[in-house]
Amino acid sequence: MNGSSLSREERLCAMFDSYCKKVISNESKNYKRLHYRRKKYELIKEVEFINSLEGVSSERNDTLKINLGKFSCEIQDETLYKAMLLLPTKHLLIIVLSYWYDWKKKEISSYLGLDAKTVYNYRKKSFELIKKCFTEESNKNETKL
Amino acid sequence: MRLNYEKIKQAIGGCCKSQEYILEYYDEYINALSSFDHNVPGGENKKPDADLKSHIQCKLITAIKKWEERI
Repeated sequence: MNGSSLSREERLCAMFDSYCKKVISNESKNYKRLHYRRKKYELIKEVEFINSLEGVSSERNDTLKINLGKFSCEIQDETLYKAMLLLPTKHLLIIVLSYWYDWKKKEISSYLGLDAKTVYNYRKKSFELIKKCFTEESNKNETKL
Repeated sequence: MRLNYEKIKQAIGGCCKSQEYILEYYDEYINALSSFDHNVPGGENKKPDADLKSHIQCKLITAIKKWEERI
């Protein structure tokens, strides 16, 4: 009697174990499938977007101006202008939309078809590059003096 | 660590400690399945993704509650 109840419990444990493992492996597969699909979609959107852009152009009159398709920005500081021209098109557009057009992260991500996290990362990388340009510029000025 | 019937029953009933015990029991298995394959030159990068891991753990807890004895 005791032996049969034990074997029943063991069988239930084994069934539970296999059930849990199945749940874990299925969830892992589903999540990864979705992740790769999203990545692929983002890549396609990125290529489409870059193809649709007329190209970045810059004007140098009294104020420094950068044109990005239908968006443009005017910059007073020459170092910032130079740093911004070094940025990749998408990074530049994110910076322009954030600070010249006051778009929120969500609006930018839906406009560009990107994940909000990607927009955040692009912005962070852009800042790092701009910061690097500024430090290089200040080092140059110091050596001149 | 061993999985026993009492713990399973408690976890299905909603006992947090038993559910934690089960999550800990499957931790290694979850870690193994929550890493993405990155092509890193000169070796493998098998670090578990935190988002994926927590997603699997949430799903596992939900699934445990739905489990039925069918013997």
